[in-house]
Amino acid sequence: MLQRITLILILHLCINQVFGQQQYAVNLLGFEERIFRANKDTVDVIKLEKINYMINADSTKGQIVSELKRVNYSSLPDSLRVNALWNAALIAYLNKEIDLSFLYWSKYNTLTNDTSTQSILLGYLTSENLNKTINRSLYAKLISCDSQFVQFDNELHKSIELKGNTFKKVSSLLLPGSGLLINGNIGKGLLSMGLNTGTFFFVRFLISNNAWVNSVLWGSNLIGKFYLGGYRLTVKEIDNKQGRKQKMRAETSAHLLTSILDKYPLSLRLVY
Amino acid sequence: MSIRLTVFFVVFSIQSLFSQIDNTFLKHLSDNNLKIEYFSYLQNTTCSNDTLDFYFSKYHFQFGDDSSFLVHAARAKKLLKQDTSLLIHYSKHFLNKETQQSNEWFNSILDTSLLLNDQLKQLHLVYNLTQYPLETVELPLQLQKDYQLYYRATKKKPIVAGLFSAIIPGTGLLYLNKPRAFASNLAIVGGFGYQTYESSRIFGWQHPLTIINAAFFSGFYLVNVIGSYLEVKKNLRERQKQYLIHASTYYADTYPSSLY
Repeated sequence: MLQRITLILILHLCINQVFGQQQYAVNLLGFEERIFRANKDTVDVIKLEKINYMINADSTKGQIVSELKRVNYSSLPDSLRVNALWNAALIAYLNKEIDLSFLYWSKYNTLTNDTSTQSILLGYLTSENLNKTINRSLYAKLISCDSQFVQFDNELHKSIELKGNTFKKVSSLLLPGSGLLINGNIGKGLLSMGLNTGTFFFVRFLISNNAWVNSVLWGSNLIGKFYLGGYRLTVKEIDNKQGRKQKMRAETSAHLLTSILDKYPLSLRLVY
Repeated sequence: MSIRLTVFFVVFSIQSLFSQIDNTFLKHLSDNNLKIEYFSYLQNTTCSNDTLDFYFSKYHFQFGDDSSFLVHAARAKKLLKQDTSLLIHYSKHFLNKETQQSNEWFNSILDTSLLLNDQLKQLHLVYNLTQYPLETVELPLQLQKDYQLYYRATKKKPIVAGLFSAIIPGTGLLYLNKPRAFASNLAIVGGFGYQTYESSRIFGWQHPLTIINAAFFSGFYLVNVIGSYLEVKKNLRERQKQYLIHASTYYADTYPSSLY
């Protein structure tokens, strides 16, 4: 009887652990209860423990980043702060929160003055659109380590603006459809030319028959539809072409970055 | 044997006793937007169903699931009754929400037994004016203009607007105090009418151009009638929405409240 009672008690107390699906949430709650009851000195250390657990439990990057934001890094002991800031910078970068990542990386760099290629690379990637001076100085350090960075940086800064866009637009206004033809959209260009020519002859036919109201109303409607529509289509097709070029550039950059990261992997560091 | 059973119940009771809901901890979870932890905490707590429903309603309210909120809030009415500040908080939220959910909150859950102070009564009245409009009603000055516009919109009949537009194109919109829309509608339908007349005079009724013109004219004429009818309904919805948005903004500042 005593054994049965003991078993029931154990089962009752550990019921949550029995169900695996709930384990993750229960563990997070456990960390949070400790955080809630912790004093000022230990609270951020427990938050780091929680983040570590979340990383190991494959939580989403978004969830981890929101936990990272709760940590007061300045109150952490030096032994933990360095790696915690590195991890924070890396996870924020992976979650595409570049501003936040650069902020953590700057704090990390101020603290350590780390000259490893990995650290410089992370700083270079996060400072791209935020601080050009730092970005260029980090780039100078990177190319002294490996010439592969030159190719990557060139690809990143290569102009993708297509030439003759203004000419195509003006041409489309002067001779409807011609802008599309120059842009390489032969079918659409010919169709636009045909429709605009048809509109011209139709309006001429109405005027020659003294159907003035018809000529004004049909003319304004059809010109709005085909002439201005053709111009808008030209602008849209130019943008599409630009987008395709941009996509190609992004793919090449991603490919180059992958090979760089294979060589200089950016990995999370143990906090404990 | 009886000692063993006593031990069992004592341990069981102690565990349950420690499982009482810690409001300050829940506030901590809420402040930090910790959805998973909040849910897990409530799921693993042993307490009365009323209390659980009360806190689950707070959980769903904070994390944006209004329909689940309403289910739990309806079950936790006893506890809600004791927290008028929270009722005000919820009411302000439902002033400017989807009609069905707002209706459920204001007319099903927030019944007369819960309207225990003037602020709640005021919010209840402000919402219910959209269900049962009154010509004269005491409202804050800031809301009166919007309410009057809404009230006038309730007096407009879609069928009347449709009939007006059928007789003279666009006049249904004039009935709605939209003179610009009236002018453009009249110009468009009139223009197509004259275009049809002109082509019939020059080319005859059997000519394809006249047939096309006549088709366009008929189409625009019908659109003008149906459009005027629908515009009255749309106008009513917009006025109602505008009134409730302003009411919601106004009371957010006037009646400060929080979830905890």
